[in-house]
Amino acid sequence: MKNLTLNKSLLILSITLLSSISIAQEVDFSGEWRPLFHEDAPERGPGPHFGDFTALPINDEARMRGESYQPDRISVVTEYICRPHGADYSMRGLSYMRVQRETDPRSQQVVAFKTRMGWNNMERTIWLDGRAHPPAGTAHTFQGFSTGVWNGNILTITTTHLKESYHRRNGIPSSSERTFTEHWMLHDNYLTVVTVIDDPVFFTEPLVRTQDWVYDPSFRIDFFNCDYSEELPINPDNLVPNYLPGENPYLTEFAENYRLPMKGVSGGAETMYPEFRKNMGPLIGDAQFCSTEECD
Amino acid sequence: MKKINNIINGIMTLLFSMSLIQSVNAQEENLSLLHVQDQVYMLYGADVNITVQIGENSLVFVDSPDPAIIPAMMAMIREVSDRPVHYLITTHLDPLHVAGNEIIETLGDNSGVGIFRPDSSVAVGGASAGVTILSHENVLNRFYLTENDIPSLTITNTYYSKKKDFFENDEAIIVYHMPNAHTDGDSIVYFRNSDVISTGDIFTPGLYPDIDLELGGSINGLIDALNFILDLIVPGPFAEGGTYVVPGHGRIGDEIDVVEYRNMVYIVRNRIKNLMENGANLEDVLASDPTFDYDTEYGGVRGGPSNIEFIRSVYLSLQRDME
Repeated sequence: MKNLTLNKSLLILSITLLSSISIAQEVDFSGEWRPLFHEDAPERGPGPHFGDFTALPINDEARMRGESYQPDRISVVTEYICRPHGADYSMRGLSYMRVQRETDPRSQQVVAFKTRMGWNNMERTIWLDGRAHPPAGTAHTFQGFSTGVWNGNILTITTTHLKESYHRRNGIPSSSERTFTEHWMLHDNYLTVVTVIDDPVFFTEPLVRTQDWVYDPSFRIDFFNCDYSEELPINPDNLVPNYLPGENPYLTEFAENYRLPMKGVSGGAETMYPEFRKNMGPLIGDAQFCSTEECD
Repeated sequence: MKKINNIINGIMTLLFSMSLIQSVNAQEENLSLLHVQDQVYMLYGADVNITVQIGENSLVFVDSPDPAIIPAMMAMIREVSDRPVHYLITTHLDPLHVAGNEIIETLGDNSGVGIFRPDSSVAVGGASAGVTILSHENVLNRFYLTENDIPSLTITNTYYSKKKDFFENDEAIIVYHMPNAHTDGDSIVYFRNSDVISTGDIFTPGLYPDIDLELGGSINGLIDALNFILDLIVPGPFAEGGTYVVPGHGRIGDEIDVVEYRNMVYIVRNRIKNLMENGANLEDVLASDPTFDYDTEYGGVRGGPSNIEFIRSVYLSLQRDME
């Protein structure tokens, strides 16, 4: 009787273990994914307003970088023209995404997911075979180095070795020391990706965002080509457009046009939370682009 | 009293020696030989990055490390190659970058029969042990003509024009002089087939530049040098890869890494220049904190010049230009 109980227990344990392994590997993100833009559409589509640093946990250094940034820089400095997004930002872009599953031909275990975005040929490998991240001193890349582990049917990805890039496309920089964690979750035909970015140089606390995708087998990614063009007839001094401290005339434009508090649009961790509304300071401007009752 | 002083001195010497040993051990533990591209590798983890071209014929070094870690460095290289050293290029006069010159010189083809030059501090236009140790002429000039903390310097050949080139391991190697940048004797080394540039201390990601005004460095020369490096670089598709860059300190980079660094130097220079044109003196400039937004990224947390040292060097360099 005892043996029977023991055998039953072992059987249940085995089934549980096997099923959990099975569940972990059943999730296949392969396929073609169309991004949904119901979150942060104005920022992710046409791009952020100049001086809109709202809801980013930036420190004073990042804010000063944003305030001295001139948008001309990304065209005058020709090296920027074909620059792709960083891997953390690329998940928020306009691009479709293709995910492919790589399997080891012998073990048939999944060793990696490969992603490709529809803009600037951004390709990324998410290793699932337990390999270590590269040593210090190696080159960083825009897509970084990613490894993933399963937490049940959620894929948790850690990415390091990123190049300096941007948290927001209006001059808020992201450092090459940042890392980010993603949690990929599948709900029927919808993929939700939670991104947690740690930037010890420019953030005072992590930035948490989500992106959603819908399965769309009808689309195809074309090859993307990019060649830089010189947009100034001459640039003898290798100009790097920037505003001197205190001389950027456009910093209040966003707050004024939407009748917002300057304290809010200047960003900082406190601006990420609802409680900020209690102490956000006076609204400014004529609400030129404001269309809600709250602006009146 | 004298006895007590002697004991204290002895203890201090012992502690100093222990700290040096710890430093060497720490460096050895952190050492790694990283493959950069094609024939070029970078020794990382010492006080200074060392570039090594490892070919079928020989080894070519750019800069030499602390002699204490050369055995560990060579052990790593010997896992890849058993070839002798034929060239060592010294990028500039700096104790960290020239410390191992004398030992590297013994690793050439003739190392078994000794070194025949009577005075290892004199450039003789040749290589007695089969190792040419090359620098710009100003490295040697500064070594002899200025006060410095380098006890001896082994250089066997110098150049004094814009560039010097040679061919080794089936590869063209071009040494360019970068006038008045970090010093007035800076060289960068371009491995043309491997498509790798070794920059010395002109490019040090994560660190403010060390503009050595006493050795002829200048802020505008530094920016010119960074722009020259950017002109040499051809990036791979989508601004990634292509020409790789080995910095004097810090991780391997490519074009965008140099761009970000150049932009920082350019923007800080412009801020300080603007303040000076509006009558600010050095105290005013320091008080205005013109590097505030770059301090966490570059400001001395990993060594290198502090923000104050950087601001001061930029100010004095611009002041010299304005006079």
